[in-house]
Amino acid sequence: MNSWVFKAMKSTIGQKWLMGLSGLFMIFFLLGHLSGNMLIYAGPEAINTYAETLRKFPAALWAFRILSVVALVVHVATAVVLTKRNRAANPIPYASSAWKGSSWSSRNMGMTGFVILLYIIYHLAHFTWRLTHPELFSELEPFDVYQMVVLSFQEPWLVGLYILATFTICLHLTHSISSSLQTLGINHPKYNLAIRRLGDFLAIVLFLGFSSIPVAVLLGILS
Amino acid sequence: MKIKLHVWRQKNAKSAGKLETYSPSDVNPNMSFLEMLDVLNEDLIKKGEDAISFDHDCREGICGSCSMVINGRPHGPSKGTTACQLHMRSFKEGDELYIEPWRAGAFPVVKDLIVDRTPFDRIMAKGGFVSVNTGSAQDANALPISKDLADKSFEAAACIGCGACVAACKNSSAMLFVSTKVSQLALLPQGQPERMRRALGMLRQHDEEGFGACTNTKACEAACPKEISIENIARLNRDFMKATLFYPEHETSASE
Amino acid sequence: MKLESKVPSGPLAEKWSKHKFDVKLINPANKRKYSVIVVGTGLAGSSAAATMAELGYKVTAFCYQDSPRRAHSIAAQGGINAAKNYQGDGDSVHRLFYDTIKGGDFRAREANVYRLAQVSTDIIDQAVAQGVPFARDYGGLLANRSFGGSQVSRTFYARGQTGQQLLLGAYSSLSRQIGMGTVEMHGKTEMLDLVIVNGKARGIITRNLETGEIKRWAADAVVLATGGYGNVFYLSTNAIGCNVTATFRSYKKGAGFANPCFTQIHPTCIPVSGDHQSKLTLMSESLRNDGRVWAPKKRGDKRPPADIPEDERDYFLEVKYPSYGNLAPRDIASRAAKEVCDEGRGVGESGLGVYLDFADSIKRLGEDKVRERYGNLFDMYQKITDENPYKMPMRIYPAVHYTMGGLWVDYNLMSTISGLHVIGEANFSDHGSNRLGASALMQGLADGYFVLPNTIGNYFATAKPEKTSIDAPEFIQAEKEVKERIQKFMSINGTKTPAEFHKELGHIMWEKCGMARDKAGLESAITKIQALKKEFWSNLKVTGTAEGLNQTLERAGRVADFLEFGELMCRDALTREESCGGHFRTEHQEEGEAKRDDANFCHVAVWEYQGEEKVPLRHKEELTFETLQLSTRSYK
Ligand SMILES: Cc1cc2nc3c(=O)[nH]c(=O)nc-3n(C[C@H](O)[C@H](O)[C@H](O)COP(=O)(O)OP(=O)(O)OC[C@H]3O[C@@H](n4cnc5c(N)ncnc54)[C@H](O)[C@@H]3O)c2cc1C
Ligand code: HEM
Ligand code: HEM
Ligand code: SF4
Ligand code: F3S
Ligand code: FES
Repeated sequence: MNSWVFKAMKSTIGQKWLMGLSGLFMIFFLLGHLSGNMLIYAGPEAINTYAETLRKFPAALWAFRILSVVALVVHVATAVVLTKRNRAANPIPYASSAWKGSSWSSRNMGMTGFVILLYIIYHLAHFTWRLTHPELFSELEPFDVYQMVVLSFQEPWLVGLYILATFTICLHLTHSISSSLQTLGINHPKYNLAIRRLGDFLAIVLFLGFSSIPVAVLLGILS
Repeated sequence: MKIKLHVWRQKNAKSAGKLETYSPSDVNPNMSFLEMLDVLNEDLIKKGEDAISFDHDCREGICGSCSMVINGRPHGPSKGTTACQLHMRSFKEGDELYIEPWRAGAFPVVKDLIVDRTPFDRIMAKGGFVSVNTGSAQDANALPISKDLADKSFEAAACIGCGACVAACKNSSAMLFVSTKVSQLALLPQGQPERMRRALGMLRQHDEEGFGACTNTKACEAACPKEISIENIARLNRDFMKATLFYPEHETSASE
Repeated sequence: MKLESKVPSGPLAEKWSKHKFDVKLINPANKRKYSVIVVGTGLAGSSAAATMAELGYKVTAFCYQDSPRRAHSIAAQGGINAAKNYQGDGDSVHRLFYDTIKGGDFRAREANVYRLAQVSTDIIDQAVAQGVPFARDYGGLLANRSFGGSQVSRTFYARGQTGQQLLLGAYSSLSRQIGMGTVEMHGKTEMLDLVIVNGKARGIITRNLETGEIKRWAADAVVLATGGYGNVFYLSTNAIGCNVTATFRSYKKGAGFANPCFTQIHPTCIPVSGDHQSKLTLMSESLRNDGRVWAPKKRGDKRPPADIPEDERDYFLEVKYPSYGNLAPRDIASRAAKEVCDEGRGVGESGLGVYLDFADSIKRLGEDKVRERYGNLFDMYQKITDENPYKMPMRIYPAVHYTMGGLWVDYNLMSTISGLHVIGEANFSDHGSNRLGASALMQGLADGYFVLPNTIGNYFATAKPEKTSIDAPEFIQAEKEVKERIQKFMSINGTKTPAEFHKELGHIMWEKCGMARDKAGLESAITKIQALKKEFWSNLKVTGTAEGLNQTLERAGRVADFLEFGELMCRDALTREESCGGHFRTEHQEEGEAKRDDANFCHVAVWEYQGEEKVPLRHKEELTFETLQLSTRSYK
């Protein structure tokens, strides 16, 4: 490896770039995932075909999956490294602190991130590896995503868990969308407000979109 | 008016410190915050105690010496105001105030409220300049610079090097400080030849000193007595990556 | 004491270039062999240290703040003069020279001032090249404003933070050298004594303010750039730490102290608000470009300013000095304000204040334009007084601001001690008995960037300082004295704090040696100061320890020197039996205006220390004016 690459990855700003880029990639993933998931409202046919079609391009699918895993790993790794570095930089707390000017979500990214990580693992175990509810899914066709979703969310606690998780993601994203742009050096007084609004808007859309599915199932709108 | 103070007392870098409580008498609302401490110190000396040490010099908000966190806010509650310009009329009768030094690993406490801010000087020595020897300059008006750029550059240059940005930042990042110098010179034509080298050199030293990374929480901007914008940090982020990706050969230490 | 000004011969305009050619040079390879100690890294010290290091000398620099960037120069607001004539309004090197000599009431050395005016233009070029963001016009060229005592626009500025931007420029050059290892910088280190070996200044004794360690430093030459002594008045616009210690200790080691009584009282400062006051805040002179100074015509008129009708207002500067108006020089404007207050027409609670009114300018230019020009000053005013100057006039009163006196230096900026160079406000400088606004920054940078680096080589080449080391007996002795003195401060264990002594001294100085002085007052001041000094050495209380950081101890050392120095100032004021510039003897006036005595006092008074409790000797450097005619200053 060139030494400058290594140096860049050791620097605070280099690490932030990695984190921001991987985060942005994941945001695009989420937007894609959400659009896919929305097909559920078009009925079992639509979403199942969608799932099936994806599987018809295994190379693309796997490339994308690998990329996603890399992004997640990079994101989590830089998050861990930076969080440790930042804690070490500030070892003594104030007796009285008033974090004026900073938002709650910006100060708790590590925590929300960690919750998201747990959620992703659970979620993969749930739908991708189908480990959590073997009794429910054992009868299903491999691409009957619709039924898989509907059957799962009969349980109110699971619905609660998904809502909570998507809300955590929303908190994470209210800071991170504008933040990642700032990290990449995009900041102009004229557009900052718009960027922040757009960030909040996307975060909320993702939250409402994702959490609408379990809620709709629970309410019997999807069955 | 009467107030109660909890002041961080620490003999030296090695000893442990703690908050001590004082109730200064006769606080006049027209006093500056530091004058209130002066009066308290006079009392302490008369009682045979060691006076509270705090950095201060100009007392008009420009030298960047004064440095204390008042109730969790670097330089206290007033926006765009250094501790020395803060007046007691900003507080009420009976208020209880916590006065602590800047907290950051890179700024160890020297005594009481005084911390060691020399990391800033070392960062400056790694590129916070234009390399122009005395006497080698061309006529000042030979290089017109648009008023907008000059003004923007000035706004970044207004940094007083106080370190409140570090004190406010949960990561003890000095990114706002570094970005002011990088921006001031990046905005001007004079700064272009060394632009990449400067961003690399100053940021590397910033990291080496043990300051944290910026996670864009913006507390620095709110605490900065000169109200410097994090727009400058974005410029630093840009310049640093540009230098890293495209001009790694500019990575030379200042000692050449 | 020999006072050789060493002014080169030849026509005024060619002296400096001739001198630069005549001085002996040192070849680049040999420069590395010479070491220089620079005490003080404000504008003068930073620029000198950086430039000398660029040339190749080995520089060790000291300041009492943690960083050079915090030196008091940082606080200069209004601007810096230079004879660029960018405005095409008739400025020239000669006019700047003339204005400075005249502004200084003909008490400065012609050749030095001319050189200052000559190099002034290079300073601007240098600063711009460093990236100093001076104000610009829409066309991209540098903007100018006008300052007191001149009828042209030659002041370059960076909003109200010119000193900051210039110092940061010099500091950046210094930082570059520190990074390259050519300058060794020691912050939080205070010089407490000068060491002389074989009649040459060869080093200093310092105290590390963080650890309390006393240390000896040797070099081939010593440069003092330690700023002014305005804090002898306790209240001044200077930073709290400004002191006379370095120059006064050097005076006690044999350096002549020139014109100590020449102090400048600045007309536009924020009035005192109470007994707790620790310093005064300047409102830049540039405000007088757009603000109008007035007081009520009636005595004791306590109406709010807005309720006082136009015809009951006395715009006293415009009335008395119609051609310069609100831009009359500082000493004149200050005295006029004092007279108004003495007549009982002062405003504000204390009656010590006059108005500086922007209502007309706001009407003419709009609030935005005024904000753009002076925003930070207006904000500062509002923070301190809790009054909004956009809505009501500022209240201002004169305050001690600058000291024209300082260690005597020759044309090469060397004091009467061989090898001891003095630059910036610390020397007796080029401002005569009154400095014009925006000329201190110019002088500090001229000395540091352009004069000293040229003349110091000549010293090395001609004096050829022999080898010495910090183990020489002179160093050991000086260190011992410094330690004993500190021990003494710690052991008196009386009842009064250093600040109390300082306040008392300041009170005496302001009352008796301030804006107006007279024989009886000065004599009584000397007696009072002597008594106070006695009390100081028997009743001082310093808590804490001598090791480690101790701000009370630092203060004690500075006050001890101010006490002795205050007496010297009064002596100087007493013996200068004339009024000139900032020095106003009530016995010497004509129709309320200062009356100079060129027959007897057209000289620099230089004081030579004679020992404890002894009256110092007064020497004279006669001033001759070859180019300019001695004339009575008139700004009417
Ligand atoms: C409020 C204010 C506004 C001003 N505005 C203007 C203006 O607009 N235009 C203008 O031309 N002039 C102005 N002046 C005057 C001008 O700022 C000063 O005269 C000038 O900056 C002095 O520079 P200097 O380098 O000589 O000293 P300073 O900047 O005072 O530097 C002194 C240095 O010496 C060090 N030092 C002092 N004593 C010791 C010691 N014992 N041991 C070690 N180090 C020591 C200090 O640490 C510091 O580094 C203003 C002054 C004031 C007070
Ligand atoms: C789908 C999942 C995730 C997305 C879309 C996402 C997105 C982002 C984005 C865009 C940023 C901003 C980067 C920047 O400021 O440059 C960010 C920051 C961060 N993320 Fe994530 N992230 C996700 C998951 C995680 C996980 C699993 C963790 C932790 C284990 C985590 C921890 C962090 C941390 C600590 C930050 C830094 C915050 C900061 O700058 O203060 N994130 N994230
Ligand atoms: C609550 C709404 C959600 C529903 C109903 C849902 C549903 C699904 C389903 C059914 C799958 C499996 C697809 C398949 O195997 O074909 C899946 C995969 C996945 N989901 Fe979700 N999801 C939701 C929210 C999220 C969120 C918020 C995240 C991110 C943090 C996420 C991340 C993933 C990932 C990483 C996969 C694996 C993709 C792959 O196999 O390539 N999901 N989701
Ligand atoms: S950026 Fe602001 S807070 Fe930080 S050092 Fe500069 S002036 Fe102080
Ligand atoms: S507070 Fe800290 S996280 Fe960044 S935006 Fe400011 S440096
Ligand atoms: S004391 Fe100088 S900024 Fe506060």
